[in-house]
Amino acid sequence: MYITPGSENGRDHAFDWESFFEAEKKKSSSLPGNPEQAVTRSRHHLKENRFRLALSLNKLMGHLLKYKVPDSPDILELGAATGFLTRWFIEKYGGSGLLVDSSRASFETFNTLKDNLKEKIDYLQKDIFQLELEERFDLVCSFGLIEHFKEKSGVLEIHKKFLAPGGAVVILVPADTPLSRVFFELHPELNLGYRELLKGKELKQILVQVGLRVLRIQCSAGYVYDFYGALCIPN
Amino acid sequence: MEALVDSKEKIRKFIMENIVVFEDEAVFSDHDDIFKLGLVNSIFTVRILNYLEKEFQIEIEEEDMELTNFSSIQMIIQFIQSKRNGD
Repeated sequence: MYITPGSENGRDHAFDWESFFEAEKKKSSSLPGNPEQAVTRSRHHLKENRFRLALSLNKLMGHLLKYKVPDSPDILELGAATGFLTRWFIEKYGGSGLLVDSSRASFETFNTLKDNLKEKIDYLQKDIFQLELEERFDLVCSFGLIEHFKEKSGVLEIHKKFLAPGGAVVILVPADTPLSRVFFELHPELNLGYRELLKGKELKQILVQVGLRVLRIQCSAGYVYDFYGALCIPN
Repeated sequence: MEALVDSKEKIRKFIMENIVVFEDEAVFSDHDDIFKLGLVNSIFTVRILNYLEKEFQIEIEEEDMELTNFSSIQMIIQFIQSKRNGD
């Protein structure tokens, strides 16, 4: 249980509801108390937590992959950073992964990870737009990639390009919800360059426009911001 | 019902098999938060769900997937008991 700020003055019936609703009528938007402290507290409450993210991802994927569970898939993750999504897939379904990211820092962080799943993962430090591979994959995925591009058809075509016959694309992006807007407002340090928050309909439209058939879009629950997962196959 | 001490030992063993620090650094009580101590990585949260379902024959539902349920040996024991009691 969490007691909200301002509750410490007493029991429910002691609160002056009359004055509260009078103030509401005046449409006052001022924040009672110390706004700076409220922002600091909010930043703390809405702080990224990789353990919580894994649980939230678990819930989302339970819905997303209900009708198409890959069996020991070969996975390609684009803009992979430390390959969180690929490691989740391998933990759940087995298989192996290739991570691609141009960032040297991400590559170095991946190398410091203590995770026995790394034995099943290769890492290619390369710009995804320069990527040439003969191999094709059962799953091509990204988590937090496409929202950094104003023009998304190029990056989505790369997802399609490396799909094996019968394979699927899984894309995760932050959702345009009040919670996500507040989260990214409170954490401007995480807004790396350009980032869009997308509504479910917008995401679907973008995916359909590049010739993907969207099997399902699912919104997360229980994380510090909301994100969508989309499961797609080529038309 | 399985003895409490056996369950605690099983869970401790499972955690120790998945720690990401050196064994001599993994000193923790039944009440210590294993996530805050940095003993395990994020994928452990997925791994322990599968483990608990198989080992203790419980079904972990979406609403159970709260970090606090798995944050310490004691919390995990409480969680298993609540599932078995149908809470």
